[in-house]
Order: sequence, then structure tokens, then C-alpha cells
Amino acid sequence: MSLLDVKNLSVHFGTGDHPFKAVDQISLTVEAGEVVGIVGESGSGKSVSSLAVMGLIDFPGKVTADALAFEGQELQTLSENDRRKITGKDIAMIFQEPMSSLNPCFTVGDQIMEAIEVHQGGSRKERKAKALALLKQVGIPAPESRMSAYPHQLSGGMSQRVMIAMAIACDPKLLIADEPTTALDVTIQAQIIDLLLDLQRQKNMGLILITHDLALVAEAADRVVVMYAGQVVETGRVDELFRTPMHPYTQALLNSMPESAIGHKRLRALGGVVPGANDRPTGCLLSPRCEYATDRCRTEAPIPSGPIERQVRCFFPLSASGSTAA
Amino acid sequence: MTAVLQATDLKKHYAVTQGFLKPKASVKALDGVSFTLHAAKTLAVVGESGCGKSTLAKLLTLIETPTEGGLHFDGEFKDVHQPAVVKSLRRQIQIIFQNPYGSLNPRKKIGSILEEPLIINTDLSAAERKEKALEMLQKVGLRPEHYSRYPHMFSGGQRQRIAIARGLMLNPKVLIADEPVSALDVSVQAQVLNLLMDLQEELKLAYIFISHDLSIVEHIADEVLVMYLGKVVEYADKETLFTAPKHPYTRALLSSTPRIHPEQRIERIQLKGEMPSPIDPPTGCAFHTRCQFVNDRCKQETPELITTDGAQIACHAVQEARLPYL
Repeated sequence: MSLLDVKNLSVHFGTGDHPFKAVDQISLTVEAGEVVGIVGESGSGKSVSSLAVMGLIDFPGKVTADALAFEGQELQTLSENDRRKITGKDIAMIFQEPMSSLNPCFTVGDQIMEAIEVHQGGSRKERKAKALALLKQVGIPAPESRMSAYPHQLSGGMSQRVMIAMAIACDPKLLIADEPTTALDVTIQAQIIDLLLDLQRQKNMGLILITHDLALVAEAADRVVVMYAGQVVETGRVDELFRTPMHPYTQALLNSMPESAIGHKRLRALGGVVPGANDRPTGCLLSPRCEYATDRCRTEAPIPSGPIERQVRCFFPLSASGSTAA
Repeated sequence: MTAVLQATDLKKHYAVTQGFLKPKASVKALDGVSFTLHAAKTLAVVGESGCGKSTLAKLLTLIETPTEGGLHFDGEFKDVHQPAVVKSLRRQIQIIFQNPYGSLNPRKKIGSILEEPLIINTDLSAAERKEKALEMLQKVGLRPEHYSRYPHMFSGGQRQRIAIARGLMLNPKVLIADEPVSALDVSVQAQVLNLLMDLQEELKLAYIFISHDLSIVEHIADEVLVMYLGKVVEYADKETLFTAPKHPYTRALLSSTPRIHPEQRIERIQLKGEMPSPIDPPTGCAFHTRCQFVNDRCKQETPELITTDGAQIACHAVQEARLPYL
């Protein structure tokens, strides 16, 4: 049994006449102790799908799924109250901008203690001791004095450490980190990622790492899910997927990174942008930007195929040498 | 090779109030930066937030007046306290900003955004201005019909193209790019970097490229200036810096940059803590609080920038040959 098992999750926004699929039939499993990276450009549906797992999509957004199971328990049929007992406790989330996700009106200590109070209770003294231990665990210097600090008194890296302390306060089994280091400097990013991976190993948590930084995923994750315009286009083990990408989009993303163009003057850029709500093409969503697209790609939409551990959504997946079968 | 822009010992100190009746403190945002920029070359400035990168950009574009230090433009000394000199320099040194969503006026059409510099600085007629704007639109890869559209109708990558076009309207010799691609997606980032390189070749522009992403710097730069707390710690050409980084801070930055391919990864040097506040900088070498090669001399004596093996480095450990080779 997987820790998290998502089958054909879709999220719709918009009205009945003009529905817009922000997330289109994605499937995802996470095992305990596994780091799964979700990569994609902005507008690819990475964050919306994680919010859907957390149950944080509000009206008019509509979430549908064939299965959305945590430890074998179906989350969609649970009542609001029962579901809230799981989210925030067993499934926790860290958001992108630490500075704006903390409440500016309360001290750091109060905010961590609130999470503990809701899910675990205990006396104020116990909660305080627990919060202090958490701050120590995430490597905040002088945790005693930081307990009474307000978020504006902390730097970006410190705020993100506090967010992590809040997220792990109730010993979650699954942690979703949505762009946890995007707003931070590289040296601080390295510190935060190392901290997250240490905690993940210690507690044998499942970790979903959502980011647009391919290199970060390559270093941190075990498995990777590549998303494009709301769909999963490729999944696989991290070393395989980055060494021999099978979907043209994954290949194009890798090619457009400066790292892949060492010795060349120009970068091999992918033309165009991710299609928005009103300009989704027919057929394969990548077809207008894909250098290998054929007439079939422009009229017919591909479905994911291949073995379960290495799925590709493409009619003409790339071979190991980087060319298509077509 | 002619030097287009030469900065000598540039300093910018800001006075800050510390509280009622307390004496004003001085923040040394930039403390003695010198460099030489050649035509059609790119000088990259790297460092963490708060190291003075953007202050340097503000001084060079004369948005702020330096507290001390001088500028030579085209081999001539320029007195930056004379309004006429400032005005002529501003035409020659243009800037593009980090966030293209904030740097374009939403109430103006692209045409008038591009023509504004011409209205202020030249006496061209309306028809001539329009012709120049259309020409520039084409040069940055946009279409003539974009002339009468508003900024909100464009994607991030297109907006950054507009910002670049605006920067080039007065045919400057130097373009300062302050994190020009950090707000963009990977595939779009590659498009904009390619455009910048094409324009450099065509117009023989000199770039000052401010960035915190070392993989981009490695691709685009000719020379690199590494800054820490308002001071230059290493100044070298790209090959020297990336193959044999010497300063411990440069090494730490390089090792913190995530890489896709495992063979390009180097052993992580974990920096402890964060950059100290520039209001209260450490004594001696500013980096000594986070450096693993620190000794008593580093804590007391500020290192000078000394040329060693083709690179300028400010580090006692390097001068004393105390550093292990990478």
C-alpha cells in the first residue's frame, strides 16, 4: 500500500459553459521514505494539484479523482472535520514564500504552538517545550529568544525554517514542499534542502518536492514527475529521466538549461510559452511548441503509456539517442 | 581592446537612524568596488542578497550618486556631481530590471513606453520616433502590431523583451541587466538569454549582468565579480573562476549551485548561518563568521584585493596558501 495514491485527479475552474482544466487526470503515488519531485513551468498545474491533495481548493474550483487515498483511506468521502484531522497532521505542507505565509501579527512561538494545539492538545507548558524543541531541530540559533520573535524580525531563510518547524510539528507522514527555496539565495537554498532531506530520512517521511528548478530535483529527488499544462507528460527515476528523457518537453527543458550548452554560444531554447486557459491547442498540448510534432500530434491527444515506473505521454517517445521513432 | 566603463573604488554609504536621540549609523552598502568593462564583453556580478549588487547597478546608472570613487567612460573621467555629465552618462548606460511585471507602466501602450526615452532625450519628430520604436520591436523579436498594445497583454518573456527594447532606444554602450531572467521560466529564460547574446554581438554592447544563478553566469559572462557585504572578494575571468575558484566564498557558492548531471557536482561546502547585517559588519574579513578556514588574522585584519594566479582575491588564507586545492 502506498502512502499516497492519486488516480486521475482533475481540478476544474471556471463556469459550466467555459470549464478550464487546471489539472488534467494526473496520477501519482508516493511511498514512505521516498522523495518525489514535481517539475514544470508556471501554469503547469504543480501547485494546484498539491493544493487539491491537501483539500485546499475552494469554490468555484472542483476536484474530481478516481482515487485520492492516504494510507489506503479514501480522502474524498471523509467529512470536512475528519479530513482536517489528517491534513495538517499526517499530511503537511510548506509554501513558497515564507515571508507571506507566516502571520505577521503573532510570534513565531505562538504560530508553532497553534499547530500543536489543534492536532495534539496538551498543556501550554508542554506545547511550549515542544515548539522550542522543534525550533532547535530545524537549526534556528538561540531558539529561546526566537520564540517571541515576530516574522518581520526574521530573514527569509529563518522564516522558511520556522515554516518547516510548523509543518513537522505533528510528525507528518507526508510532507509537501511547494517551491520551498525559490525565494532564497543559493547558499541558504542548500541549507534548507539539506535540512528537509535530513528530516525526511530521520522520520522516514514521504516528501513531494515541487519546483521549477530541474537541477534541484536532480540532486534531491528519487523519482520525478514532469508536468506540462496540467498534464503529467513523463515520470521516471531521477537518474534515468535526466540522462535519457523520453518526452520532447523534458528534453527541451533540459536543453534550455545553460548547463547543457557548455561550449556552445546559444542556448537551445524552446519557443513559445505554456498555453493559458483560452488557448489550449487540440491534440497534444505541446504540439505547437514541439519540434517533432506531426499531423497526428495536432489532432489526437496522446495518453500516458509505458511501464508503470516510466510513463510517457507522447506518440513518438524519444529513444536513448534523443531522436523520435517517427 | 577599449575600456568602455571603468569604476575606481566606488563607495556608497547610507545614513540610517537607529532610534530617537541615538547617533546615526552608516551602512556601507558598497565599500570600494573597482572594475573595468570592455566593449562587447559581459561582466557578471554575483553574490547573495544584501551584498550590494543592486546598489552597484544604481550607482552605475546614476540613479544614486556615489559617496566616493570615480567613473571613467570611454577613457574619460566623468564628474558625477555635474548635472550635465550625469545627463549624458545616463543616455549611454541603460538598465533593465528584474521583474518585468513591475517595470512597465500598465497605463501606457508599448509604443509610448518605447518612445518616452526619445521624447526626453532627443528632438526627433513623432513619425521618426515611431519608426525607431517599430525597428526596435523587430530587433527584440516582437511584431509591429504589438506597438499599440498594453503591457498586461504580454507574457513575462515578452515583457522582458519590451524592457530590453526600451533600454536600447537611445543606443547605449553599456546595458546593466539586474537579474533579467530570474522571474522567468526555464524555457523562456533561454529565449531571453539568447536575445541578449545576439544583441551584444550585433550592437557591440557591454553588459553588466547581475545574477545569483551561477549556471547562467557561466554561460553568458566573460569576467566575474564576486561580492560579499559590499566588497569584492574575487574578480577573475570566467574560465579561471569556474575551473579554479579560490576564495572560500566563491567555492561555497559554486558548490551550492544545484547541477543536473552528477559528474558536474562538486562536494558541498555547507556555509553556516547567513550574511551578517551591513549595519554592524564583522571586524577583519567580513566573511570570517562563515568561513571554515578562519584564523586569528582573518578576525582582525581586513584582507586587500591582491592578484594571485590571474585572479584578484581578497583572502588571507589564499595569500598564506592555507587553502586545500580543489
